[in-house]
Amino acid sequence: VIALPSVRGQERQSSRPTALALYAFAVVAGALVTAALVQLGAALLGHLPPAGAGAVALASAVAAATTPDLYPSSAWRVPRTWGWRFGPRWYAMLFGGILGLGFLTAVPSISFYTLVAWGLTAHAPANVWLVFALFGVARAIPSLVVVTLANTRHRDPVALLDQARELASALLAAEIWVLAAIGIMLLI
Amino acid sequence: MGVGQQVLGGRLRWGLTAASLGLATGALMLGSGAPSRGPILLWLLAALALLAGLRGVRTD
Repeated sequence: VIALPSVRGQERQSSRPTALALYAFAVVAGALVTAALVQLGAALLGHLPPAGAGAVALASAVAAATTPDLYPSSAWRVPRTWGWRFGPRWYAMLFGGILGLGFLTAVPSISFYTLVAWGLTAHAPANVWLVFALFGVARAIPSLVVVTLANTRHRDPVALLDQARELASALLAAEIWVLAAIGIMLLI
Repeated sequence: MGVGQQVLGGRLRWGLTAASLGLATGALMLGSGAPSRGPILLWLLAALALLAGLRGVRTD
């Protein structure tokens, strides 16, 4: 999305804002699809104890504290060739939707597993929609900020992305803190 | 001790500190006699969802 592939050698600058908007919309939509899948899973599995989600949260907190980058994740990536195959707008939507799902490509954070585990045990569907919608919005924000800054201030998007990654890694301590608090609250 | 080991040791220390603070916060909330843990838990889950999303700065 940061550098939309040209289609048949033509990349229209005017299509960028539209593609970006479609991307952001698709990320949130993808996260809501995951929310629907989680609720489908909850319906199929029946009543699961919230303590299970608490155990996942606590284990994730310990894992993030000791080995932050070591957790199960997908190695699949959205093929770059899709840009040529589907065109910039469809590519932006597919790319955003797949990233929004959270599990087809690299899992964004170990906390994703706690969100899924909690969703499987949650009693209020509205809360599940809300939490996953927030996940989608937050997942879309970094790319929107990077692309906007790159376009308006003519900054190098790759350098901006590196800065965003550093800022994101600084949030790990807060993430561990919240994971542990959720873990103990769900366990007891 | 090498620089790499110092970085890993530092990261482990603040990671475990953050986890301990989280455990203490959760226990405090449970022990404070709050009428319902549901809203607090939802706020924490909302915060976690935001953090999880923001931490996923990837382009692929």
